[in-house]
Amino acid sequence: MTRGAEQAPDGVAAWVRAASAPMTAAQQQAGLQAVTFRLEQDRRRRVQPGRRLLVALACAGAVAGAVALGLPRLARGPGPSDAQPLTFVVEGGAIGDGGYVLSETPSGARVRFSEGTEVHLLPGARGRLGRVDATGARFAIEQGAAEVSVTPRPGARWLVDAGPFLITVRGTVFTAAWDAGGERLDIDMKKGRVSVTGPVAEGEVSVRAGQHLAVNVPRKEVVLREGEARVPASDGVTSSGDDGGGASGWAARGTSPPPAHAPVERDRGGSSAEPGVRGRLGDRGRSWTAWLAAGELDRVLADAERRGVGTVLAQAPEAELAALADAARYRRRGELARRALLAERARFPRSSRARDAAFLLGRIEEDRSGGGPRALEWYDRYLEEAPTGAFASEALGRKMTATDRTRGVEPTRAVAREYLRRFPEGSYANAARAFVERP
Amino acid sequence: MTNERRNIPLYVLPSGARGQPTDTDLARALIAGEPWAVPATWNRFAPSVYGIAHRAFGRTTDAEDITQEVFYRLFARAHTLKEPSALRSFVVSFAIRIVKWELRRRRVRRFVLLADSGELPDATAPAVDTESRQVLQRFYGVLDRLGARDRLVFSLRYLECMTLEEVAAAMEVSLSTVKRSIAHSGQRISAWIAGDPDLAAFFESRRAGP
Repeated sequence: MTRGAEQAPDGVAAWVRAASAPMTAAQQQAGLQAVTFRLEQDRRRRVQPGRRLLVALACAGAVAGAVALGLPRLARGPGPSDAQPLTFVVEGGAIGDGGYVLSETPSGARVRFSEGTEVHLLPGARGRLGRVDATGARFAIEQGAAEVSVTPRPGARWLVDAGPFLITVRGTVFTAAWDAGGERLDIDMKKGRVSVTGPVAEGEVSVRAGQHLAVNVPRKEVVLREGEARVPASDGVTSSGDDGGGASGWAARGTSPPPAHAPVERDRGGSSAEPGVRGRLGDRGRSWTAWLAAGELDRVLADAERRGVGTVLAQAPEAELAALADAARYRRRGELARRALLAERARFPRSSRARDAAFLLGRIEEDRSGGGPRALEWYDRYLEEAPTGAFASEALGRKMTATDRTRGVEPTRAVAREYLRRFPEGSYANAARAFVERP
Repeated sequence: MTNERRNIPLYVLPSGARGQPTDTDLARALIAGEPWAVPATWNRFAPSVYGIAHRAFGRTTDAEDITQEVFYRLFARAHTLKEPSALRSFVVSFAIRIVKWELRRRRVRRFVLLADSGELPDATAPAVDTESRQVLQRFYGVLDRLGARDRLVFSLRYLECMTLEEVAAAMEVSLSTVKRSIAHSGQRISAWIAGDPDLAAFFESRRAGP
């Protein structure tokens, strides 16, 4: 085969390669859920014939025993050993194809099972219901946070998938959040105990009531902390030598509203700074962060406006500014989000949130007409301030695409090379290769 | 507030050498039925398989379907994997086999129904402009005219940048067959592009530069 004969399609192929879009994080998550759902269905189909026979035998035996002994044993309530699968209802949403839970209300969807267990997908979160049988169910969090309350029963088996992690639950109450983009898991235990397995942890990690587990997959970091997640990100950051992108630092800055781990309790007894505006908003002692976690975005925005946005920006503590910025971003109020993020950076310049704010400001600028050059400046600033931060890969990837839109081929190629050098397996790697190879 | 936080006990659990499992670790975990192995394998290889499928078919929905099909079958048959260290090539060969099977199925359908969906593929490329999208769609229309084997050989050689030897190994055919197929498909594609004034003009302008 001579090279000359191959020459003709080469240029065409290079162009087609460059035009081919890489798999997105959302496609990756949805695909994984679809595959695991099919595998689970297969498993159920394989198990059921045998189970039916066992159930029939068990029922026959039970009836015979009850008749023979005159005992009202069949009157007892159903337990996990009964073959009857649990039933469930979805409130505030519906079950779609493949078990996908579709939220139809601003407060998110709740899946309530017949034995009392409840899974509440918080606003902005996506989930999928897999296996449901007599012992429990398997639920997958594709993105965002879910509050899970499992009714304790002997023999119960509840599993929660969060990205590559598997959470095995008995009777317990907890909040789990998975950030698909940043590959971060966050678990806040309220009652009971769960065990977590996944690729980063060495074996099982057991999390008990009052503890908070944060796992950052890209950084291979697992942090188990006492005292739930009522500690803002900068704490763990300082203690563990994190640079601000640590596992504990992601929650307030996820792509969906964070789990309920607001700094409510500690802030209440914490510093005396700005007591009037520091988020003690006179409603059952809840903070903006907690409102945000509960999906009450409009409430945060309305309260900020009632108090005066200027005053809030000038006086509110950092956690509240972050909550305001997040609420504004989720409600697509870009200008308010921008002001809150700028206030974070101006008033708390050395905090990890301030560094994250640089990245988020880049995102906001990207969405504005003609904001490309300013977005590039913010991404550069974030990469300079937090070169190994949680958003570093995405910041560089977005810088690459923004450069392509605003500065042309050669500068984009340089950024693409840098991306491939730093994140050869990152989510923008295919796009970077395409830019490098583009004629 | 700061003082209070200092008292919070903090444990950092070392992730150890298994922080990022090797392909061999993953394969062994899959064979053993470890629950974490399924998502970990997916996360590691799905983007590559998706890329192969996307470039072969030119359509996002096809690429998603093919990727899911590959891994569904892979996970269902993970216990048949003989060499754990060869997980990556196992995945790629699985993907290529399914892509080939799907190309053949569609070609048969086109013979019967004239087109798989009655329309040219809706090639998607979010990063390019409308003109480029249309060109991409027409280019995949050209590829549809190739036989399944020639098309896959072309795709692996030019779009996946495999060497001729790699293509032969992946397709489980001889090197000479690959060379014949490359020559055949390359000439035909070049001729078809040349016969389409819009496509020819577009690629000519790309060659000439901005």
